[in-house]
Amino acid sequence: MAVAVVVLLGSLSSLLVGSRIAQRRTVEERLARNQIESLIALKAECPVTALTPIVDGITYKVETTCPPTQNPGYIELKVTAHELHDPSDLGKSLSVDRVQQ
Amino acid sequence: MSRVLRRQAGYTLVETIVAMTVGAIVIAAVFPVFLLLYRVETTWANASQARASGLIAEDSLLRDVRVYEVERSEPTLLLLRALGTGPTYSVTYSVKRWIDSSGQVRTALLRTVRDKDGNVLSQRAVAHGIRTFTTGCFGSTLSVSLVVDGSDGTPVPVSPDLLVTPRNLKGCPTP
Repeated sequence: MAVAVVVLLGSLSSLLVGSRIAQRRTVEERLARNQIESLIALKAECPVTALTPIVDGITYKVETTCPPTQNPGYIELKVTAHELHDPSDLGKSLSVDRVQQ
Repeated sequence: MSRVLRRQAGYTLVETIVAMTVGAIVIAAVFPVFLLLYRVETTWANASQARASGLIAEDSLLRDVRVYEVERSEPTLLLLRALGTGPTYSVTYSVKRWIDSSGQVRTALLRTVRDKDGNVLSQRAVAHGIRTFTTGCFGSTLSVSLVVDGSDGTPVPVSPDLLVTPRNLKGCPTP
């Protein structure tokens, strides 16, 4: 019986942790995508201020970096969204490039 | 009593009662934890399912916003207009509510295509269970906020809101 209880609680906990992680990744992806849309709309240039939106009571950090490129007028913006206090280096990254006119 | 007989004697009544009592205490301690985890899991699964429904709605919306211009954005209605100078038509997104045969309130996000005279060319539900659909176009960003019905009837917001850059050259249309 003890084994059954431990197995039951163990699987439920794994399910919870898994769904929590999946939910955070979804939110991170949406935040990164929204930031890219904002960058396109505002025609922003680097550096871009980091944002700390709160979604469902969890604070995330949305950072935008611009890796150096060889071609003048061409910039690549890499947006990374992750939980603010997440010690791991996980998170969601999306990038967009553009030619400056 | 010989060793063989003692081994076959089984448990005494006291041992059985003690074992059952300890077992009951353990179950009583563990059950609330199980119940809590189960409730949390059910709530999250409900929210997750609702979000998936919201994502389906957004998918269709995103495709249209990438192709058409935003002509009018009202809190509960989004009107998109096809580009070009030829025969043009419009796409409207709105929430429809109705009562089904079992008396339950049903909702869906409708995508309606109309020609230039306002005749409906096509109308279909892009996602079911969409309780509210709110749009706002400010500056150069269209924001779309969806609240979806969870399987237990609770409203689940799809967060964060969807932000899209419309194709309009001068940004959002002025109301």
